[in-house]
Amino acid sequence: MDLSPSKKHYLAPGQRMRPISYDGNILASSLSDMDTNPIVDETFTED
Amino acid sequence: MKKIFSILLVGAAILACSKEKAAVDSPVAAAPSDVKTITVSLPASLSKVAFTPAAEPDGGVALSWAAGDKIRIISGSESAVYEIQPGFEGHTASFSGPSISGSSFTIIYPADFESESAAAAGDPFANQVQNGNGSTDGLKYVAVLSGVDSFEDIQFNEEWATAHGGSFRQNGVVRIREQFPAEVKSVDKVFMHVKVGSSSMGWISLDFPGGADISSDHILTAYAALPLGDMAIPAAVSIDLAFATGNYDTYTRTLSFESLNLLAGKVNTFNLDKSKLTLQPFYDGAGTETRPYLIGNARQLGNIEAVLVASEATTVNYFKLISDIDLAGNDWDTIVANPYKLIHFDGDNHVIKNMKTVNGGSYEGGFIGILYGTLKNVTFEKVDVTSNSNPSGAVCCWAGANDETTWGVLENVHVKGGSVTQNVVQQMGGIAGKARNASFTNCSVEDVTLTATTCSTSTGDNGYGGIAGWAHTSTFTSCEFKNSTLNGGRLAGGIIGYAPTAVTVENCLSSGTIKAKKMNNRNGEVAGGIVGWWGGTALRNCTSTADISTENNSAAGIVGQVGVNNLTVEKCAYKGGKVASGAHYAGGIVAYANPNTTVKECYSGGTVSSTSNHAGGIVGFANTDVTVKDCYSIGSINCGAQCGGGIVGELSSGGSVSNCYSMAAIGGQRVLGGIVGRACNAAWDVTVASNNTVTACIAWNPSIICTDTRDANSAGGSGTIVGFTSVKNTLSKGYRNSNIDYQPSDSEYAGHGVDQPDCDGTNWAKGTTPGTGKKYQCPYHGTAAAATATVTSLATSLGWDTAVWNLSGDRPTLKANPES
Repeated sequence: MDLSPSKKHYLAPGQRMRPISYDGNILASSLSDMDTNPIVDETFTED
Repeated sequence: MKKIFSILLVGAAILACSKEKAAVDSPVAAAPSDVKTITVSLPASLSKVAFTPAAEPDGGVALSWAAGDKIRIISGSESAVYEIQPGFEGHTASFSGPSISGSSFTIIYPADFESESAAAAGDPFANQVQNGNGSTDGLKYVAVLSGVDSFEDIQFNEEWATAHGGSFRQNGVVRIREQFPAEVKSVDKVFMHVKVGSSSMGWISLDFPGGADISSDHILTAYAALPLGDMAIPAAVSIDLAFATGNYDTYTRTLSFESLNLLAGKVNTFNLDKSKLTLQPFYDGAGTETRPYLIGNARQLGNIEAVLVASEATTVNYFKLISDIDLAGNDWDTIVANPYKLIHFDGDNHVIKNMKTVNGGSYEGGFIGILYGTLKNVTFEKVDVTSNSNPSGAVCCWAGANDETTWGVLENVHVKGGSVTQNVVQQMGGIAGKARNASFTNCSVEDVTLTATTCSTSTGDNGYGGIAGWAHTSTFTSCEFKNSTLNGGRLAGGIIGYAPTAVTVENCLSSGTIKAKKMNNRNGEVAGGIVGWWGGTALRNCTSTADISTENNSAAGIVGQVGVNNLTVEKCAYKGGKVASGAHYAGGIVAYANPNTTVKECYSGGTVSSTSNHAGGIVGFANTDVTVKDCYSIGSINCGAQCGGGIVGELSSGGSVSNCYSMAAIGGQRVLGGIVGRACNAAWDVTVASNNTVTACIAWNPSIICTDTRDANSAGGSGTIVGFTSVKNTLSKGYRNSNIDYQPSDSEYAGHGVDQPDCDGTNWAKGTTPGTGKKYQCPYHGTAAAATATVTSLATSLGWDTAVWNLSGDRPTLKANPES
């Protein structure tokens, strides 16, 4: 068995395996876009 | 009123521009007052929601979920983090997290905020970063659903919150679209400060690392995130805007509103025309100690003068460089404020390059005309300074004030490369033309050529120095004239040309070339590796390796002439190079020493020569009552005419040479000695009571060779320790190298010298009294050392002070000034 540190699939001492699944809730969430609120609108000087 | 955000601004790139003093109306009044520096910025991990600006110029932004996004759900004391799941797209995503129960929930995005109050704080928005012009990469999204009865199918909007019995808050965005003059190619920072009257409501600073490129249309589009909620201010409000450009220019303008509503969930837009921008005289600052004017380019550097001119006489005006500045292509108009004002200039270790001065009037010819105050931490590279009217230095014409109330302080100031030219009968220095009530600490002049093209015709002494031409009541500490050339006139020195009184020089160095040229029929004389003409208070611990020459009298490794009585030169070394006097007086340390001068703990390793009389390894000519103690020379001495000595060329009367040795080869026409050339009241009457003392000295010279071959009735005699001595001197405890090649003018006495008993001034030694037809044969040879003796063994037997001398090697060296 190759126990060299480069073999990442072996856990380091003290490291725990992450659970594959757990009993969490799944929820959906949505965002809204932002449109503009003009505060100052000056015309640029033509060069 | 609650502050709505917090601060920023300040600097990055470098881009020099031209000096435009005329464009500045009132630097003091116009300076920005709200620009500040803070290093903390909005954490990158705070929000991952992506903002995508609409295609059209005035559109809003689209939001979309991003990998790694997390939502926090709080119910009572429970708090759970939900992580985004694969398959999210645009506005919609699924999140997964641990079970949580309850009937009223607070839902916070991003989950980094552990409470609603934390999410509502404005401080994290004070400092933001964007990746470039028009970038929204740095925008952060914050939203809170409070008191809702569900966390299923959440929608971050007001409608969903209301439908679920709660409320909703989110943040908004500010977009500033600012047009700039065509010369502005990039913008580094934007600073936005909201005020009601004089009260600050908060600020946002936006940093563009590497700069926002606006070179195509000179319009900057800058996005910044606002804190949570609407920012409604129902009162007269102003927004100060400051823009720092890529070359450290700062443009400002102030917007005024009767009320202001920066809305959440909106892109609050500012489209601003360039015509109302104000270019500030400095990058930032108020000219005070805590907020100095910050200078980042040539134009701003040129605005110093306007500030000084407008200043009250007692006000100190503070300036600080924030960038190197290249003045290439622009003539520098010397800073002149008359009457002179107080300045504190901190270069912050930056470089001012290619300063070329145009002499336009009084006290113009350097960076600043008269320095009242402090100038520090700056290097001037490749200077081209010409003076046609006043004292001239690369940094200032004058340092300090005559009345001692105002000092000129120069610290860590360096001039590297280029030239300084003095075209009028005035002083010239590498840093300052004149210094009175000034201090120079850790200042240097390196690879610079200093040239005086004229000199006074009669008695007016100017002074030409590597650091200062002329100095009075001043200090020079750890300064260096390095690999440079000084083409001066009368009174030239590596650190100071002319130091008439109350000057201290310590721990200074010189190398390169120092010349005193004859100009305007004024003799080119008195040059020293450290000081030309010395009348100061303390001169110690200085070293030179420069080549020093005069076209006329007095050249020396350290001091051309000690011109005031009762002064001391100590612990100095001339470690190499050539001292060449074009007439009389050449010394390894001092060429000409006034009465009661003391030279101690010094050594010379250089080549010392005069084309005429008086060349000494330590002192060329010692006037009355001069003391030379604990010194040595290991170079060579060549006296073009007479009076050459390994330590002193001419010891007049009342002088003392003790505990010295020389290993220098001595050459000249006649009157040469291994330690002293002549010790007879500067004359030839051996019966005169010259009352000199030469004691406990060691002549370890390899040779003493005269080129004048006349006999001792025609040519002055030479000796292995003293060449020609009065019978009224005290000569004792002298040793000579038993193998010395001793070739006096009169070949009858050639060989290795003969032993003589000590003489106390009354018992002139048998066999050495001038005889008939040998009136100039009056040497002192002391005792030949044993074949096994070393200089150190002899010095030890003579009881030389071990606190002064290191007696561990074959020959002693000075503890205060080691050779290596």
